[in-house]
Amino acid sequence: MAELSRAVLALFFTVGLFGCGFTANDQGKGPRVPKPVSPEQKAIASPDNPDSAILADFNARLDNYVKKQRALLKDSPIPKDATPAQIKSRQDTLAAELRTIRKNAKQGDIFAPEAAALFKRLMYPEVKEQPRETKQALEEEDGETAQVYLKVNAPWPASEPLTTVPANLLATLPQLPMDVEYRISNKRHLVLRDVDANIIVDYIYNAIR
Amino acid sequence: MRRVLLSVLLLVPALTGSLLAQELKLPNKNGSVKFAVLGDTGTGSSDQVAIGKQVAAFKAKFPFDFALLLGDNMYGGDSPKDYVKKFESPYKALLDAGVKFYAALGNHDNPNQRAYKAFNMNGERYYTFKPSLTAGVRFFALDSNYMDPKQLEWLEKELAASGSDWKIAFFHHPPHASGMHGSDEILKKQLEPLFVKHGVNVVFTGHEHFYERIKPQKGVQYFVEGSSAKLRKGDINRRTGLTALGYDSGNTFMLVGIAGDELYFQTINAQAQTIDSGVVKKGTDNRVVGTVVQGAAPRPAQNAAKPAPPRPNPR
Repeated sequence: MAELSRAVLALFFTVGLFGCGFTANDQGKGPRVPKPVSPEQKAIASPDNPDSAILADFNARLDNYVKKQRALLKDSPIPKDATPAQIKSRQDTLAAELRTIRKNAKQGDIFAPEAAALFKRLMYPEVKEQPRETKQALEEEDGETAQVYLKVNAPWPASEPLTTVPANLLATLPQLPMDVEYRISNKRHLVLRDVDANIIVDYIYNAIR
Repeated sequence: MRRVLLSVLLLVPALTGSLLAQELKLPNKNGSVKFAVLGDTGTGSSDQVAIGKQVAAFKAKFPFDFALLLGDNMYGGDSPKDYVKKFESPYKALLDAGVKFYAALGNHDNPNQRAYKAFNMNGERYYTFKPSLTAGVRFFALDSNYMDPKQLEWLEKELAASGSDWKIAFFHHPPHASGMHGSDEILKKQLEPLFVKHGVNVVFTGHEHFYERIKPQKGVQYFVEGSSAKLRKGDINRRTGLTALGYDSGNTFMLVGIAGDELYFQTINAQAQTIDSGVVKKGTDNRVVGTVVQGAAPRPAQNAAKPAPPRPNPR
């Protein structure tokens, strides 16, 4: 619900800005001096952010997915003191149900092309500024890398590690509700993964350059 | 007759050595907070089972109530059978004795483990707990795989609200380490300022498959314990200057006891040899003022196949 409210609010600001043609210059106070924007702020839909419309669209698509997922979980919530059998059964059932209701889902449904381009743009300065540290954080056991065949609705294979997402990259990307998370496969593709169902919701190829 | 005599002569020192190897070096004070620390455990291998047996054997001498798992609790698959093979079976004796496990998630762990009753995560990827209402010790389990701003905000809030004298964080990826992964610089940049600001005294991490006691950094004592089932032999790079003591030639676990301003630790390998032991002392401002090593010269196990002694950092 909170995510939905955020998206509606962001959309409202965006429409307000573009619809009314409002700019700082309209107030007759001379040329607008942009305030410094932190990496975190660049990922938030706000009146000051030129990418607000793209972020609001991404939030709306994501909220749509999360609402569906939560509706499926509502009737069979996992207890906080579950057995392994309950965990596995809940995960598999949820994955199957999501595949059914999203049988036509495809790459780009959530990471629309504009959003994919924006995400690459948001991450690039961090990767460029700290290439060694970022690469190091993406390293896996003995030089192995999570090699995942990316397909919407496919499971993240149990055999592959859930690659650490460097904290500096997480700080630059839009914050996600707890139901989904970012992961990185093959050291460069950004994946949106359903935490509870362990399935790939969407992905961006070569998000890390 | 000569053969029998010879066998007895050989057997006596072997048994004596083995018994001496199982020596507990912790003070075992009444009312102290006692726990075990294991990292990178979930292989289901004979190495994990061997360490599990030693932990259970030492519990008889050092009756700890709970154990920390530092992540990679389940390598590979996580079917119900995997939970048995990689956790419930190797630690059966401990679970039967009522030892509570508190887990952190590693990069090989499915976050759905957070709902598993025996990991006591209460459905959360990161959480905090106090093992005793009176001891002044609080633990903070973090998800270092996914250190998003939300988690950092939560950590700052919880640390600020905690009045505990001992604030102990545990998670998978080490901010300081001398192995193939090395120090996670990005994580260090995110976490260390919070640790220093809010008086975190001790940090336990895994990920690197060896044992390493780091020289205290900014008033925080870091331990890397990622060899409770996995092992990467000879991986410690002693040129980092971080290592106070490192051991990368056998599997290990830790026992810890906290009494007043002192945190006692003992690191033990699969042959029950003490690899490291000492006491972390904190000052009145709760910062670590130093770590004193107890005179724990390693005893080679008589019945072990060429056990390698711990290699203290020459620096």
